[in-house]
Amino acid sequence: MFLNSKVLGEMEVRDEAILYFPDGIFGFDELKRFIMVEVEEFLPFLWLISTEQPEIGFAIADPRLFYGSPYEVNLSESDKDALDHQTGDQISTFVIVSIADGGRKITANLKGPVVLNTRNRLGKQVVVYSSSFSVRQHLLAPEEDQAATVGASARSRIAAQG
Amino acid sequence: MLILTRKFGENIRIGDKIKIIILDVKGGQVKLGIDAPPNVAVHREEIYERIREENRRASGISAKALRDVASIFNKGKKRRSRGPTGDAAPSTGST
Repeated sequence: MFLNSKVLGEMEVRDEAILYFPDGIFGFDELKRFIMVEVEEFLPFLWLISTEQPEIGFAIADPRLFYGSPYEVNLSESDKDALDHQTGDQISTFVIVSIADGGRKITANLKGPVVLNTRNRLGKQVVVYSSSFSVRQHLLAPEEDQAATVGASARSRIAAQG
Repeated sequence: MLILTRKFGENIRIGDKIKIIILDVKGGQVKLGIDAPPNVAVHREEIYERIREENRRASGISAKALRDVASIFNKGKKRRSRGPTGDAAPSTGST
């Protein structure tokens, strides 16, 4: 299918690339099908774009970019049911990113990460009940230099974790 | 919507497996105990509302804003690899 997204323009999407979110994304419950798009100029961020309403797109990222201490999402039994989770399945975790103040405030939603079962491409936005995670976890300090340092250390951290 | 009146210490059953217990009623607050199987998610409504609101905010992100932020990251990476001198480039702003 062809898809004309607001942020990336027109693209061709193979059916097998489509991710299925049976419950949608909170606040966008009617949107069930998404694609994840990696474009070099936006890395380390990826786009999660609705195929049903291509003007809706989210920037997502590896949560390790945003959080110094280990961030682990413990899936509830109902989350596992939604993902048809079976032994040996790989679950990828992403956080949705917001940018405010002309790029000075970059936050990630650690309270509502997006999880994806890579085997069957089922996805879900889950709720992390721990009070230590915020819907607006800051990534960057206002100063660009500090931002660059955070970025660099986050990258090396990811490299270290393989 | 089913509306039930319960006193302190009385319970409500939802199906066979979910029990809601009125633990305390004080001032304008009710303290509930909830017994539910592990496959039933129980959260305060506010958490969902906060996530919904944050999703709506996040969905308005522009390609330009994300490109600018990505370039900050990638600049940081390059600068790091240049060596220990830490030659901080003047801040150019990225709005």
